[in-house]
Amino acid sequence: MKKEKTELRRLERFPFYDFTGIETHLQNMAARGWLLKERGGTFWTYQKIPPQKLTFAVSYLPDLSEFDPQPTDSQQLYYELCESAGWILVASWNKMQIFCTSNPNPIPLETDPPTRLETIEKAMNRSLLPNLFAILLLIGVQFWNFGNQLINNPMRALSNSVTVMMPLIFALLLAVHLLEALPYFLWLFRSRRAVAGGGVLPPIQRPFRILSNTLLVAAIACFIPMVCGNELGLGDWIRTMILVFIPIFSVTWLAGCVKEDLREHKVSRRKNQIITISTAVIGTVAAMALILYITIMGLISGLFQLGDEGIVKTVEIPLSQGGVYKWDMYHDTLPLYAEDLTDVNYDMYSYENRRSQTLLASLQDVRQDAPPHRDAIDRDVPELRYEIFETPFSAVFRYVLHHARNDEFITDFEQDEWREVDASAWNCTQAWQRYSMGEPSHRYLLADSETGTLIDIYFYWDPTEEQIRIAGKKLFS
Amino acid sequence: MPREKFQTLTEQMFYVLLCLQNECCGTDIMTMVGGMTQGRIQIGPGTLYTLLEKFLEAGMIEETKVEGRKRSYRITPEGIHALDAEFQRITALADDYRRFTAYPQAALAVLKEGGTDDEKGKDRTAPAGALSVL
Repeated sequence: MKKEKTELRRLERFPFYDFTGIETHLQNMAARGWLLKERGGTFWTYQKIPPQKLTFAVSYLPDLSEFDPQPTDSQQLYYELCESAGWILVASWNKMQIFCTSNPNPIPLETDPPTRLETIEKAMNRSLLPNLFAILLLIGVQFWNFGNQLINNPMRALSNSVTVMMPLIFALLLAVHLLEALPYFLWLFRSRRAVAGGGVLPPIQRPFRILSNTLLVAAIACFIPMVCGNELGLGDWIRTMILVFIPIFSVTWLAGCVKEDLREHKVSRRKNQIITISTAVIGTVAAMALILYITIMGLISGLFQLGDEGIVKTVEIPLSQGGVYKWDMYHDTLPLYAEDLTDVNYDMYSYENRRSQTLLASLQDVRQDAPPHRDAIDRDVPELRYEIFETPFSAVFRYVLHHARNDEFITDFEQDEWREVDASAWNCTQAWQRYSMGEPSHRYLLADSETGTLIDIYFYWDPTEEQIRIAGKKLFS
Repeated sequence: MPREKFQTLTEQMFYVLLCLQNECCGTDIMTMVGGMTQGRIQIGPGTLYTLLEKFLEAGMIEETKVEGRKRSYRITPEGIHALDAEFQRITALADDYRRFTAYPQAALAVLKEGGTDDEKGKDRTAPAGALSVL
């Protein structure tokens, strides 16, 4: 026989100020046979009761802190006053207190609109506004970071899904927060007018609820293209997430436990704050040290290594001074191989093509390498390294090309510059060769404005005209 | 908007202070106010708690006794002053009401003319002696 559920845990999304919505929701839940037992930040726990009509009231104690001993003397006094009026405490969370009564005509918890408005305003100034400012600050940092990367390395910034999607995700979260905060400010405005006219406080209305929920889903959905478009493989993502989130959750959980324990032991607010924050700081440092240790040990032992997706073979090359060098060999498909240009036949090549893609652009970071260790390197083996940037947006193309063209250093001591060369040989619309101290190097910048393609290629040898022609044909076919 | 630090008192504030002329606790206040006003005014526990905290902070009441969890309070001279000021304000309102509802035309005429007692005597609508209440 199936055991009847006596507890229910639900994810609830009510803004802190939405006392009207919370009261109505809890009333409906009680009518369905579920009474709130515990209110958390995100998850609320309900206990099974016979379905009944209960009236709920939400109030705020602005001076209360989450670090206060539980319950404080003033809280206790408050609860007793409420109890004498028939209101029973159901749950307390942060500054919010939730009461219920079975009396069909109870004395309202709050009977003086000006006093109530003042209390709510004070509570919100100490909870809603600091949160909003913190989010704004975080979003500001994200945008600053994106802008910085866009200025310093636009090719990578625009094709990196994390760099592009994070500001978008944070912008969506900002919109969600603003849409959730806006009804409070509208309510505050209406309430001030109502109170000034001797009226009662109007109920809170949340007209943007569907829109804010939709934007939240969109923000979460943005993680999919972020993960899929990034050069990291799925395995790397999972490992990174584990390495990042397990310590974060552990430290948060530990600090939360310490805080609650101290509250139960009636430790003062100040002491609780100091001990909890110290625990969080020490825990974070310890967790970071642990991550570093696990990463280093994991990499040394070969248990795991970041970026190993696509490695087909690891070859151990003996070193002259003893020991071995581990050479990871990739076998990705490349748009252009050294073999296309030369007669080389070498079985130790690693063919690596790291792709990253966003809605704005894509980037292939390509390299055909021989083992780099000086004991193992074969200096006659030709190597290649190039980046292929592609974008369907002409403005993006122009900006990235402008940035690449301006990557020059001309001072009294160094002179690195691009000089235009014949583009038709490369099968593109514009081409430049890198000159260092007046001497040509083997590096070329190739642009094709028709396809929005920009290539920065480096040959480990001096390419012939024929090799340039073949390379251009392959790269811009 | 909340009032400027008790320059005027809401009904709830007024009755709480009125009750506290005698020492009493929060629960007593809630019961007393209901009785004093024949149920016209009810003070919710949330409101009462906030008001007691604010009055204590402003020095308008003082805590006199703590018996277990029960706390008793009493009004202070500052509280009496605020209560008196509110009473004067309400009395002034009541006086104005009486003047302007008993003989509205006479009262308005006096206002318009910026009149003296002699001029008041010229009013033809008010019965003899009626203006003496003004």
